[in-house]
Amino acid sequence: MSTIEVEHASRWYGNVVAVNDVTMDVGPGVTGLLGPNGAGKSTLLHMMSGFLAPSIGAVRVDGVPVWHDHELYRTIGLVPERDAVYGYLTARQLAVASARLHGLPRPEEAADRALAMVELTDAADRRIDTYSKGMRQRAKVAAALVHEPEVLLLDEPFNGMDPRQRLHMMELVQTMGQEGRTVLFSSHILEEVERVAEHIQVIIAGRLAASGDFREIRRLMTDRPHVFTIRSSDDRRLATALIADRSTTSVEVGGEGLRVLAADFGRFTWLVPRVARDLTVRLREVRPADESLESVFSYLVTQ
Amino acid sequence: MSSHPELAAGVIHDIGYRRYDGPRLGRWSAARAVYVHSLRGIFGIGRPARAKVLPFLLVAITAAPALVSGALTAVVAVIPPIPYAGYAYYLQIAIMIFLAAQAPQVVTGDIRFRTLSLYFSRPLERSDYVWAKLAALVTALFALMATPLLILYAALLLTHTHSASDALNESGRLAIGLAGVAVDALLLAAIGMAISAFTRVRAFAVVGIIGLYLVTSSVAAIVGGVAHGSDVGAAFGMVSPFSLLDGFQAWALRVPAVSPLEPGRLGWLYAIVVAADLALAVAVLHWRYRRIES
Amino acid sequence: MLARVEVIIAADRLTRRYPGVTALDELTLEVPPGIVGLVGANGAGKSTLIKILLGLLPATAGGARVLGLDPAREGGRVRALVGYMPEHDCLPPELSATELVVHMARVSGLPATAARERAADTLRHVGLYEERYRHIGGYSTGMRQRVKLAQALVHDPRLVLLDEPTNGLDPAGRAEMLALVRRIGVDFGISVLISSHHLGEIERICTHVVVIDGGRLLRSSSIAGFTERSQLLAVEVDERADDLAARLIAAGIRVREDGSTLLVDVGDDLTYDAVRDAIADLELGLIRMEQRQAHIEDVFRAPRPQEREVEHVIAS
Repeated sequence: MSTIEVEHASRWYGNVVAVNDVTMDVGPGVTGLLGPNGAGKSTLLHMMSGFLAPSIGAVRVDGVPVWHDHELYRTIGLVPERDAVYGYLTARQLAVASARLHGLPRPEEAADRALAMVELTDAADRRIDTYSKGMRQRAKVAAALVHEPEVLLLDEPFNGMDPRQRLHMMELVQTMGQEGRTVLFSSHILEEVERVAEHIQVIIAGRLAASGDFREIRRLMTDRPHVFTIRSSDDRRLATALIADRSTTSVEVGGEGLRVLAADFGRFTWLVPRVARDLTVRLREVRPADESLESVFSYLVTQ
Repeated sequence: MSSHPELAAGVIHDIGYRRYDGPRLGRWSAARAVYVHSLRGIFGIGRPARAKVLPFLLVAITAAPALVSGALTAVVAVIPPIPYAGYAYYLQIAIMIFLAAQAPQVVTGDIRFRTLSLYFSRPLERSDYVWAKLAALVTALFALMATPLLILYAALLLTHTHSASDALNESGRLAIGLAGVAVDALLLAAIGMAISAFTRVRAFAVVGIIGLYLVTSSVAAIVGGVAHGSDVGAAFGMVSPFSLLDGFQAWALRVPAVSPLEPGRLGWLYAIVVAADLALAVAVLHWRYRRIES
Repeated sequence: MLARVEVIIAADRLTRRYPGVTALDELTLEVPPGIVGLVGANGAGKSTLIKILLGLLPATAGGARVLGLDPAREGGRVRALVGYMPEHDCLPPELSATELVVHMARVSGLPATAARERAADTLRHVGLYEERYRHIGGYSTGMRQRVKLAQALVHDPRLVLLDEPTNGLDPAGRAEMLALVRRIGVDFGISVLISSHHLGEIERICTHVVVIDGGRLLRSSSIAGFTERSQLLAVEVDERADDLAARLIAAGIRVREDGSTLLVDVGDDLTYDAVRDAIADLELGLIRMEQRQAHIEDVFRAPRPQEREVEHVIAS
């Protein structure tokens, strides 16, 4: 069980600050690193994997700085975004090579295990340049897993995959999180992060904008009313009762039900079932309409 | 004052999506659109001023000797004007620069930016595209090389013709000259375009064309010069496109050869090689565009 | 004039083989008019299918029909009636949007005046205003996608093929593009085939979905067929979900747990009231109550492991 600690780390290239004073801890389980393109996700991942030193600040794993610590590299696996694989190798050869580079005592066995984990055993002896995009990603993941790292960093792992491959990769990531590994993956596709990650870290223009569970983050956004959609057996009566309460900012009565802006999340969620019961109005659907990661994200981007 | 009651009441006009039920012209119209578009692109028409500089500068450079020659001949009658048929040979460097600069412009952009997918998803066949582009480049080269001839013709017509039969003779010479220029334009355009179509990077195509020109003209000049007068020398004259074309004109149009590498007895071979080169270049072009993944 | 078609695209055992890989394998499907999502075809399969439909590639076996025409024999006619928006970058940077779209309209066979007018209108419909006179080289991704869409629409096609139209767009841009696609399908009355990896987007705007896997048809049905509501009610409260579950079970209602959500079997309408009252009695906050819905992605999944039953000892 390992924890990645980033403490006031910045990384710049001349005047371009790729990562700007970021402090975060990433523990066991699956964490999603979310941000628009160019926000600094790749740079941060490379700093965590020891490929890049921070310009200032510290990046540590279990208290030990990562940069140039070769012992520590044994515990970290990085799956980079670029197709940095040699197409003429087979997946097995790549995994064995990686195992040898890590100085493992039994490289072929380690490679077999890793290939089995990503379910590439059948195709393992074909050249990588005959693989589909999803299989290439899996080959890269296998090479990053041979040394059984405690920490696994994946840069945009679902890029360009079709639904079946993506589903498989998501399950793989979740499994590794459940095994107690510290898994951090970056993405700019909100749907993916929403589904797979237990925690999220949102990076915008090099700065850490938010951390935690996105629903909790949404509830912290108190300067914005929450949007709910409600369908009931008598929308209008319900609307009248809701608007009478101070927790409700506005109610829109439409063909698809009610659209309610609630200023006070806690009070409103408590209010709805009570009011409905008191009026004997049947609730059919109550849905927070803007609790998607997308909505949280677009709010954070405009901060 | 309301003769139109609806003006008093207020109207919202429908500017939503409109269907199109008009004529849909076929492949020929599409090819012509590509032709016109490419031709305008070569001369920078409809583009910012800087796109016009190089092509028009080269037209001016190519035509300048004609202007000078025409003026001289008008003033000093004994100085002969530059012959129509040999003009292209004398100005080969300027013509080559034009080709090297503009052939890639016409061709490599669509390959590099993958615009071909937009063309080929329309009722335009790949071969139509090739013919249209080639025609545009041929037209441009023809304009480049014919302009000086027309200038010379005008000068001569004004100053040296004193009768209708003189004018007719001069017109006949011009026509022959233009015929030669037409063949020149065809072959050079085909070669230039064939080279350009093989790379996505415009600069490579430019270098490729200039490189080919330099190598072939050097080889032809050296060997042809060393073996001058012999059949071998004449044969090597075919290596360089300009001496090839000049020799072909000499044989086909019965005008004196201007290039020092004369075809001698091999004029008929020159004709065959011109035809073969042209056919080969066009075939290569079609083959290349059939194979391009758009 | 084409007769009204009930089937926009049809394939009959369509097969396309390359050395070493079979991109399409006996694909048979019928696509109705509307906004149709194409899901799951990976690179080779998808671009092969599009090329065959446009008549740019012959099939190895089987056939296809687009708008009632055979693209293998009448490719030119098909391409005059179909618009295509490629996934990849395809715009020349030195032209303006107007110049490009007018030119493409001409290449599609429109006469000069019609080309100019339709180009202007189409650029307006896709949301490009003054920008249209500037060079494409300076455009943002969102603007480029709009230009690509405009050139696909300018000749008034009966069908447009959109390949990953929201690629590279930020969430706001994606929402705008999807709204535009919906307008095309609904307001403009043009059939749309949209290929995308974003299943959420497909679910939002498509009327019909075709799922291809490994070159074969996995499923083709209306969107309702993919997203049918189940008889499960997903209930999420702000705290003490276990207490709520216990209360409901005591009332004879079956409840399962799925993460922080309770899944309640809806016996009849009274279940809704029972849930409502239980929450109100316990003074809990109701965050969510909605019918569980299937998703397109479920087609790719292995059968879900059983959600675990909640076992409670009812406090006496």
